[in-house]
Amino acid sequence: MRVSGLLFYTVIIVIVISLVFIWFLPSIQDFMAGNTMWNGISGFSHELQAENVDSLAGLTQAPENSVLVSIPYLPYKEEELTAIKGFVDNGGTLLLMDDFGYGNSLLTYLGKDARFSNKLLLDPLYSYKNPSLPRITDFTPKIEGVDEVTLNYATTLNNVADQDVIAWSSSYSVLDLDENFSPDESEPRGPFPVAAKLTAGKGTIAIVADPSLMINSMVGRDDNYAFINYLSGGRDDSRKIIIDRSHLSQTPLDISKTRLANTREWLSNPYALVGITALVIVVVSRNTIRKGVTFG
Amino acid sequence: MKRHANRGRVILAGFCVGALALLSSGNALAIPSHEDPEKATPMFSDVALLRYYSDSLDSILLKNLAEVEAKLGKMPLANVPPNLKTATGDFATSGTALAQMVVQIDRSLDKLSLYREQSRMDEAAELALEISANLTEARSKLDRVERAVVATGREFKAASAKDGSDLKSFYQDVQDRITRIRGMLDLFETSLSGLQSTTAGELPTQISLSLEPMVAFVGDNINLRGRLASGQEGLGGREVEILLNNSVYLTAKTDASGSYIGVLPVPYWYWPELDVQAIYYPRGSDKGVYIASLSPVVRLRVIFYPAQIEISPEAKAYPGRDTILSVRFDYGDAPLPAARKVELRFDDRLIAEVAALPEFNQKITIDPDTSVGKHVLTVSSAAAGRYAPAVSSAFLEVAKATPVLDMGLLPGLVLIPGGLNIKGRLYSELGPLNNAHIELVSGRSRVEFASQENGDFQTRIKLGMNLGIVGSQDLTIRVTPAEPWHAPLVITRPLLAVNVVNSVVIFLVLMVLAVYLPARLRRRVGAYVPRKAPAPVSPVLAQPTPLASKASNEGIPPEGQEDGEPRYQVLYWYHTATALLARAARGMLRPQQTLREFAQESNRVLGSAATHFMVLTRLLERVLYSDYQPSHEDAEKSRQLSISIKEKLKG
Repeated sequence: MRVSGLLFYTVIIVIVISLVFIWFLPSIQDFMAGNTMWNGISGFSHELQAENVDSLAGLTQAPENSVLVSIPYLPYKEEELTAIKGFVDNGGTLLLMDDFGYGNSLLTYLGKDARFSNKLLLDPLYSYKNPSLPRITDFTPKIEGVDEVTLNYATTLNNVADQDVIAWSSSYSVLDLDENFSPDESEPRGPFPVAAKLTAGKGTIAIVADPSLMINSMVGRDDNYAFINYLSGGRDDSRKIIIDRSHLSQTPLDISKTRLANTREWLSNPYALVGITALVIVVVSRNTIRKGVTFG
Repeated sequence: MKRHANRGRVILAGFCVGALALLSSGNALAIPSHEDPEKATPMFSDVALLRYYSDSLDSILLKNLAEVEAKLGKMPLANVPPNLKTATGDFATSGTALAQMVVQIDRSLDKLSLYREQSRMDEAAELALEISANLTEARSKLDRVERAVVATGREFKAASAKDGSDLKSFYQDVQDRITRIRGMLDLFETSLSGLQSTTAGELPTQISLSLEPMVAFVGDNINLRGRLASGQEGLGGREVEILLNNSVYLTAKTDASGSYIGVLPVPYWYWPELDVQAIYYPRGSDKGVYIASLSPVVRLRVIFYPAQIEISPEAKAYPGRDTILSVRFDYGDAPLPAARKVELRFDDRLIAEVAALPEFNQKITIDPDTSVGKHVLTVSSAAAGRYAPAVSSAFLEVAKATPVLDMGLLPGLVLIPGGLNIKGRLYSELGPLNNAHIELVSGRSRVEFASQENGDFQTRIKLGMNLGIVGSQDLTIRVTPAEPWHAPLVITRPLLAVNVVNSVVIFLVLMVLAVYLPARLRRRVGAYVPRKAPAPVSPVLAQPTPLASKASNEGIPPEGQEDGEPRYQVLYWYHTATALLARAARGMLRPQQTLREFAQESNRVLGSAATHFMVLTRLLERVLYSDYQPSHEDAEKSRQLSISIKEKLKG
């Protein structure tokens, strides 16, 4: 076998193995619905039968019973901001879950004063294991069935009117201004708002200062699931949950998986199948003609 | 050619690598926004826990029981080292109990002071005993709190912490607060001792009370009388307080003989019985001379007209619509009141105030923004004279009507490209859906419109081109009603869609692939794929057996002759052909098998030579089984046929 032939078959084998790995290796990226590990949202996505979308272009025009869950770890484009505003103005519910991302740009566009402080909330007393996993125990009386919620590297909200706040951190909580992951005496003390509900147009904007509430390792902890349910409008079978995946940072594996899935989808259409069949026949025929092979 | 092949491979490999690179490229942005809670490193804050202790003890010192309970009730949620769980649990339990006792002792001391002031010595003595017991219990609880604090300090090594450190400072703060609470308990004890001391030489008093009549309507006046004395001596000019259910209701003054009379207006309390007592406690110059006294309880029976309200809401109410509430007052045997007001509340919100008839229906408009679920309807009527207040509540189920979409039968099969005419009616138990927003979505096609006043609608959704051929395609119908009493509706119906264009194109392509390409290939390379012959049944080569004309066949060599008589030549060429056949596919003429059967069986093996072999067989049959005398032409024909068969078998 010549070197070119060896190279050719090696490349083909490498590609096939790579594709198999890409297809079967589970995603490990944060907030991915296909990620069944601690940092994915497969549980939340499955439980609420959420639809994961990679673009906000096709947001429903009659969103009265729809909830758009947005975790803005990538900046919004102008047309995306417009689409979300239209969604909320027409009666949709936006569940904006952010900690250190681009949530403030959306709030600004929606004309709301509320802002994410983008600073880490620490609670040295009411927490799970360590101060970065603060426990929230103070809620507005409007919420029923939620006594405690555990956050995971959360931030706080600023400029929220008292009547709009639905959850506060404890009076022992601290805003980690110097980012040393340690509550210092000089740093501001709580309670701080961590969740709020605002109205906008015909719709509602629910703001939560921590998207990690919904990851697999957190959603079942304490009353986190009930809290998310409340934020997204309560139990209602006709409610449609849409998770915006387009503003999440993705690993090369996730991007490859998405593209592979898209390619597979594209290849499964009849024209592509016919094309591939024709290509195979032509390649085999050419080979046959070239070698002068006869059968029998 | 080889060079071209290599180039092709390189191009293909390059394409694949490019595709793989495209699949795996991306811009990952890693933002640490959480950690695995199961793997999180435990971190405990000594200062935070001591601050929490300190705050809780502060609330005890402030006698703010609600605050103490709120703070210590959350102790299980605090992040504390596992070996401090018991200590912190003790702190919370004992701290809460301590706070309750402190508040109770404080109140009891106030009460004791009042008793003492009123020279109600018997009650004071009883209360003092109770306070004393509580003080002992409170000290015990404080000891437990202190032990919890010491255990915490030991765990955090607070004693050995640097002077001036936060840990040392907060630990000291907690200890200070414990000392202050102990001081507070000491102060309570001192106060108790002070209040327990009595002045020697005080004279006991007795007071009596009687009522006439003992049964009265609310609002009636009854006469009361009694006497205050110390021994046999009536105490005149003293104020006597009349207690109703232990609360001072009115005051009477004794005459010179110590007797007192008065009129007691029966309050509009609508309780069937009232405990009436008279109490005397020394005032002014009587202080230090007489001891307070309390009369025995006289029970006054009170009559009034009670009423039962029966309310019957409709089974369901709808946001934005009226509902009827039936109200009925049941006064039993009592006379009906002349006029009475009724208040109607919906979840504590006053929604109507009307004059109450014994029986009436009240229309209530449900707010359009009312949430679905159970709501409380309350009907109340304030007391009016002898008529007791009445109140009754009932649940009202607020729901949204589920729309019914009547579209008849949708066509089971739709053609693409094309459209689907849809006509239907939207209604619910409450009537048609007027101006409801309807959205139809099927694949990439979408159409939005509104229903008519009577709920009817008619539209056409275009089914545009897609890549499918035949398959199920969902038609989703979303209805958003304009009326607040109707619930949104989402229905999905499957349609069997046939894409005519794609089907035709693919049929043509397949036809090309199946018919045209193989033909082209055959023409270009002359390749032909023969089918495999079945395995031979017997290795015996049978000779044709002449049946019809044995005589005429006598003398013919079994294998014929190449250049003999035409008859022999025909036999020779047939034999040659069968030999070729035997070599190609090991096919033999079996015993008892006719020449024609053999020829038919060999069709598969012979392929295109089958016809030639059949002609040759028929010629031989004619020679062997009839009187026919073959000519040279026949011999030549058999030779040609045999050669053709040979060539075709080789090809």
